[in-house]
Amino acid sequence: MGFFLVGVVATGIDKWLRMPLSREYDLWLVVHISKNRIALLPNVYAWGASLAKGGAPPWIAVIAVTLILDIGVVAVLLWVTSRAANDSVSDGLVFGLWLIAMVLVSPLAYWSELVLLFPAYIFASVAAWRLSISGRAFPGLGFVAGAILIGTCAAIELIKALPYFQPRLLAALLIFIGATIILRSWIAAESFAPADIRNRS
Amino acid sequence: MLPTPTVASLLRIALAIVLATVALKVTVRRLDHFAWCYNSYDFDQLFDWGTRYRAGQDIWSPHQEGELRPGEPRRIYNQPPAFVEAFAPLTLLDKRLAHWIWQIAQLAFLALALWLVAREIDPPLDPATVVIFIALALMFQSVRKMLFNGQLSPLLLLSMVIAWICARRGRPAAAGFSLAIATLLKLYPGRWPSISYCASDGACCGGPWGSSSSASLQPGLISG
Repeated sequence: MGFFLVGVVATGIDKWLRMPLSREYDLWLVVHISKNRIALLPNVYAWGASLAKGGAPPWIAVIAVTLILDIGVVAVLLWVTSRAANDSVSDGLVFGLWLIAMVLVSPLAYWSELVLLFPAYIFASVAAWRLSISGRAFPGLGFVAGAILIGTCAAIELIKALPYFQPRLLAALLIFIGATIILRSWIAAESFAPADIRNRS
Repeated sequence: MLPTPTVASLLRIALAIVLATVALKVTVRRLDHFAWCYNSYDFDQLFDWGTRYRAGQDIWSPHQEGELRPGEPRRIYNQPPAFVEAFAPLTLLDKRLAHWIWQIAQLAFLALALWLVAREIDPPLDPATVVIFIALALMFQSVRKMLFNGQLSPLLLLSMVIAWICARRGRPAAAGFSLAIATLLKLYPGRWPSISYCASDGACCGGPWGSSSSASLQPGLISG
């Protein structure tokens, strides 16, 4: 916080105070229908607009629905953060999930910001790989579902011939769900035999 | 039958070489393909803001005069002031050259961030696996889109990754500094700090997670 305040002072407090002046333009960006937006708020607005047959949906309803979804995301984050073990993969997965949440709850985030999902991809892949070769019995349906979700999202990102996510928000949501499921399986396996799984490379 | 460790290692190295070659080719082709984007959204908007800010013009004025390009009216500046301050020196260069430097820098930040992330995994991944991860990431459609728009998401990712690593290694000042850079460049949403304070402190939520480095990092989870 201190460094941030120093940065604000160094760049001129008066300029920071003028930031709300762009409110009208920001609002236009939220309501301007675009397929490339991945944040919850503009997508909820777009769903509302489609329900209202193209008309403007009531803002109170849009904000209420977005808030409920935001609370859901935060609840998942608090739950995984409280349950995560203190190993690098758990910590990395939690970090990846927080990055995805950052994108989801931002008022505006675009397709290009999906690069912030890479830590979740990497840690989920490593966790899935190490769990699958740990020599344990069938790791569970949840783990398989999580691995399939991550794999499918990666395939869609890599293979241009496959149709991309419509809306783009789905990419962030599915990775969030997949990484959460894999983290849950990892935590369960860790509590059973930590060293056995952690030391698989 | 599973391959022996030596064969598996050789296969991994071969796969890493193939993927790195393909990723390099794809990236060079994308850079070439999007070389004209110096004159397109979003880079031209960032460049215009940077140029006018350097010239002392008011980019926060609600009524912006002129056009960004034919048919595209100028917009009010809607990023944090620290961003335009950091971007403005780039506008001293020719726009095309500035765009090229910007794109290469973002790719370098992305590769560095991914390398740092992979290096944090314990036990460490072998170099071939790290190369495979970075090569695959560079081929993602979202990276293509990032290059098309000339966005700064990799810089944000790198700052966040450095902050996370510093927090993991018990260097809170360095973590805070990196986090502040990310926050100063891209500001939103203000609601995170209170939630994350609960997560990192643990006391108000009753959780035993006071030492989790990811949790202690959350105040910087800001994007927009």
